[in-house]
Amino acid sequence: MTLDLLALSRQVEEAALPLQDAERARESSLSRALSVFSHWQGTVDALRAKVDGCGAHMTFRVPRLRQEWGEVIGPPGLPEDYGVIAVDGSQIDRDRHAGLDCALINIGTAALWYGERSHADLSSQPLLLCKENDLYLADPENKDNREPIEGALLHAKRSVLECGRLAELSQVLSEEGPLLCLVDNSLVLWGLMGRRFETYVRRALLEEYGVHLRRFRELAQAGKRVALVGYVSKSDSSQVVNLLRLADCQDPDCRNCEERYPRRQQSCHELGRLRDRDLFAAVLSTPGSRSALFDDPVSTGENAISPVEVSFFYLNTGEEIARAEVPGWVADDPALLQFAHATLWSQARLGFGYPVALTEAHEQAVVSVADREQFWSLIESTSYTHRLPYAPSIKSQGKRLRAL
Amino acid sequence: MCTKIGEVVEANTISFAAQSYELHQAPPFGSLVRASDGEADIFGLVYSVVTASIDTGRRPIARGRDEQDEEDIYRNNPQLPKLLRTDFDSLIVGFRQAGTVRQYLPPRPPRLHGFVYLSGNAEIVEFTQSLDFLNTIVSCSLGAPLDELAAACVRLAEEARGGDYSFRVAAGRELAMLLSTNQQRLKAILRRIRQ
Repeated sequence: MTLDLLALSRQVEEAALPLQDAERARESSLSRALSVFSHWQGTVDALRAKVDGCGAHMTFRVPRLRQEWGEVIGPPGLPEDYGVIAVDGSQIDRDRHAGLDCALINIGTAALWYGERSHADLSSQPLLLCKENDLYLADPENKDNREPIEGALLHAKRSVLECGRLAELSQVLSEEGPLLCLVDNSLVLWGLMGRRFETYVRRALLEEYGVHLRRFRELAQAGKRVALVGYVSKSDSSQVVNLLRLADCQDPDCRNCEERYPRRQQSCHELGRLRDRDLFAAVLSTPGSRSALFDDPVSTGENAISPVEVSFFYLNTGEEIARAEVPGWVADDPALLQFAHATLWSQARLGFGYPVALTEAHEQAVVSVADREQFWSLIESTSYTHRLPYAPSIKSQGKRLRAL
Repeated sequence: MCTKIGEVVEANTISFAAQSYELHQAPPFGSLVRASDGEADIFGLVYSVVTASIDTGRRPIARGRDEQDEEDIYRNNPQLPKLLRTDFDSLIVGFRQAGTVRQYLPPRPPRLHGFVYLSGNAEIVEFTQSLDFLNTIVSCSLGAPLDELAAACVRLAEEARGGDYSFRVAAGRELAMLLSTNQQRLKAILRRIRQ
């Protein structure tokens, strides 16, 4: 029996009902959020002082303000000739039922040139992970301690490799003109967040990631116009909303407010329903406009999950409010930031709301269901050809046989 | 002079499909093209041209609402030429082996990935010395506009001869003989040759 859609549709119907109430609550929270937002507009120093006053007591993360948070910057003009490189990846995770212990990462790239020399290069690069070093991260202080690279860790590894590929390409292509370098999603390795992984695991990946990221900085330092951007569609981030919660809190250090101001507790929680994208959908009314720049709090400090400082802004793409993350050196360079803003907006416009280069990189990277089957068949037949003792498990064989 | 224009991507006994090396640059309808089975040169007449997405799951969409010029669409979307392709189908009308042109089906279809050349005037003149190929066109059961094809290739062959009217007359006679029992069809083709 396949999926019982009739039974499922009843559940979906039931799940949808409370969402109407949630939507009404969101609208009321947004109205309150906008009132706090405009109340604190023009008081960046006071807000910074409040953030600094809270210090390490805060239970939520707030970004550092670089400018007035209500600033709205219109789309700048495009350079005549420029390039956009985007990278995306997909993976086939390890499967203990398969014959050979291995994983696959497929990295797709799209290099698009605009202007006089308009042309494109689309490609993909498969990478088989099957050696000990590919499949495990070992603790340098205790060789018996090792972490298998699979699931979230394989995803993080893929992000690192994608960044490496992008750095490699930008090194070559930056000779041809200014470049926007795009990665799909955050520049921060969120998969390493929390206590899921031991320090040596995070350190190993962050070190490798840092090497790749710093190659972009070296290019910028060498005078090349190369802007790295992590593009997050439908971001779930609520860092700026957290800042609103803090601004709205009557407690000077936002620590004991729940006990001291029971009424305020409701207000704080009310704003907590929102995402940054809800807020900026109201603030950034013109397509192409971007928000002020904020420094991401997770990219610094002891438990940083990014090897470089990351700043972000929100962009109205005409279809949604996207989050764009840039490394510190791009944030510090007004001309480069302007280039990133202009080209990102153009990309979104050409791609009907989503950067066209990222769409094409995704198309290059995608591993279809048929590709997956081909991959495992290839592994299996190679094992048989070389008489390797790697037979798929009985469970795996049974699933494939599907006998009647 | 013959020009290399594409590559065979599908072939059978009576026709072959080729991918054009350049997007939107397929040979004109009715053109004589040449491929090879490794030994013989195989001649075909282009009867269908298709430009579409390389990936059947991705359909092209309109992109030019804000553009002034059609070329701007391609300039602003440089990925398009990589994601679209132009293919053309040709009806096999003869072959050349050991220097002799024969106007009937070759023993084997062209090889896949074999180059396809657009025949130059000299080759068109050489191939159309005999008019037996017209029989292959009018009698074939391919789902193609065969009457249009017959007329187009006669017009092009006449042009290759520098507008030699006597060729048109000879081709008309040949068609009159082949379609003696179908006057309506004959008239339709002759009208198309004249225009």
